[in-house]
Amino acid sequence: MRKGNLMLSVGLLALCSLTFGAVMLSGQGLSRAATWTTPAKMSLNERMENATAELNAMRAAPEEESTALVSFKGFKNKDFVVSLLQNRNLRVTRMYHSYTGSHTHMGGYVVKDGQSVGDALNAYDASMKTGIQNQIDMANKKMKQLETIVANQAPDDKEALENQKALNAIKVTLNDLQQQQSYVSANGLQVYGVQLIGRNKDIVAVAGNAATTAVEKVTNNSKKGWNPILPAGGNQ
Amino acid sequence: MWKRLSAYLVAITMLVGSTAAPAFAYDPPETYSPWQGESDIYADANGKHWTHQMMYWRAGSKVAFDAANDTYEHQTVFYNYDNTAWAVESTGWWQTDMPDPYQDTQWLNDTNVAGNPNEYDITVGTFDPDLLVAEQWYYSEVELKPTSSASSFYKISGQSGYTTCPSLWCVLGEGTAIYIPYKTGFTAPERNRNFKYEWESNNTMDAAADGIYVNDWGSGTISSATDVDYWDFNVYYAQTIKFLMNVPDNTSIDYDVNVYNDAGAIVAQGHLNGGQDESFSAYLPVGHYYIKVYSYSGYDANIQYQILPYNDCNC
Repeated sequence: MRKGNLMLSVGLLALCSLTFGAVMLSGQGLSRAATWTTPAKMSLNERMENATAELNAMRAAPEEESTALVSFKGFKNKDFVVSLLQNRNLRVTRMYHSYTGSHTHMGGYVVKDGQSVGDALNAYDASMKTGIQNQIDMANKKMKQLETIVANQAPDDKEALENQKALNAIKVTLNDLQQQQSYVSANGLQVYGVQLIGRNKDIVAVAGNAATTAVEKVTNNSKKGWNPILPAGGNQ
Repeated sequence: MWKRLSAYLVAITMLVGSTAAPAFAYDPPETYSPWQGESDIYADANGKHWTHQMMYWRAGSKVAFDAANDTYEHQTVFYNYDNTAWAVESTGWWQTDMPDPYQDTQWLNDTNVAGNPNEYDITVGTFDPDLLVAEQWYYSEVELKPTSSASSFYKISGQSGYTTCPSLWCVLGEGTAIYIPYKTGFTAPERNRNFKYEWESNNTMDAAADGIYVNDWGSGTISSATDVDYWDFNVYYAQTIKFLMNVPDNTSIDYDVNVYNDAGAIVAQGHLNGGQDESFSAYLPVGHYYIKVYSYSGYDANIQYQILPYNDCNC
């Protein structure tokens, strides 16, 4: 590392230490000005336009390394993801799934260092099935608890209305999770995007696949969304 | 690693550079805390370990969140000062129905830059807490990587924060509210542990009191020298009810607790000195009871107390 870069790095580290020194001393975390604002998030069209611009920039710097968020045009099974990403000089760091019922349920899998795409997907799949069943069991348990509360509460109990609302709400969640379970049972693990790290030219190659809808560089642009772009039309 | 650190330092530089002489004002915990929730930390029939957290915001709560760059994280934190944490990381799988969610990482905890390497937090957050809907149950489920420990202390907390970029490295905590504290006798794995956050006004021993069930944690703050919090609960069969109150770790703050029957008579109390958690019990017949939490001296509107009426069978 050059001396100039080293000094800059040391300076930044010192600044970071001072900042987090304040964080540690405060005990509550670093707060912000009441008037802190950031630009509003991008619309879908703006995000797509921005993705095109970023891809062009990556094409112009093929040997640079980037972290990129890849959104698929639809929900893709394990075989597709493996065929898309294996044998490429890319490290997959995260994968994402989603199910939309009455609400949108989102999640993912953080790939371990050294874990192959295939192994990660198999682990993801196994955890998905168990995780959904566990969530159904939890929602069922909560529903029964609330049913008991509602059944035993006095009509004029100050929280009677809130308890009834809570009971109605958990039934919606339970129904969603049961539908998600049926969907996964019928379709297997379905992924709608991945995050990966690698050289720009390898990322650009992934973007060239007809099944990708957008490839975005993960940067400090606060106008972007946070997860891959959800496929239009929901879970088909 | 270096690229991530560099990116983070750039974000911090931008943050500090953008906030010359800021006026700091923490959001009160009741403006972002879920009204009620449940914690289940468990090993399933296949031996897999999980933390399942449920949260429910009541209409009129979560007023702290705006559409700009607020975040909310719901944290399962494992105590590891004695190297017995029941979990220190996730296997990788997570799911939630919170909007624009993310799973937080331990990266900065391990370096003591943010977080604490002796308190491992397994966290699912939302980049858009302003989109949380009242009167909807939210959950997060994370699969945990087992450690060799059979049990450990744990706590459940909520953290309001903000982000300067769409990256996990740029979420900064602003305020933290503890809903379930570390407590001897209440260790992970533990299931069916409910919590409720106080709902003002709960200052009188009547219908305004916050309802709580035996074996549920109640959490709140004493926001002034004259603030009092009332909770009420029912005893459905005569039994010994034990009471715990976790108080701010500050000897200049002395919170006391009284338990009253429906007639207003004191049936139990905890009046230890400042900075000391209360622990006492009483044999209570069937009936309706009130818990009063108040300041004997001192207060801190930013640090919660937690109150727990419980029985030995957790039933």
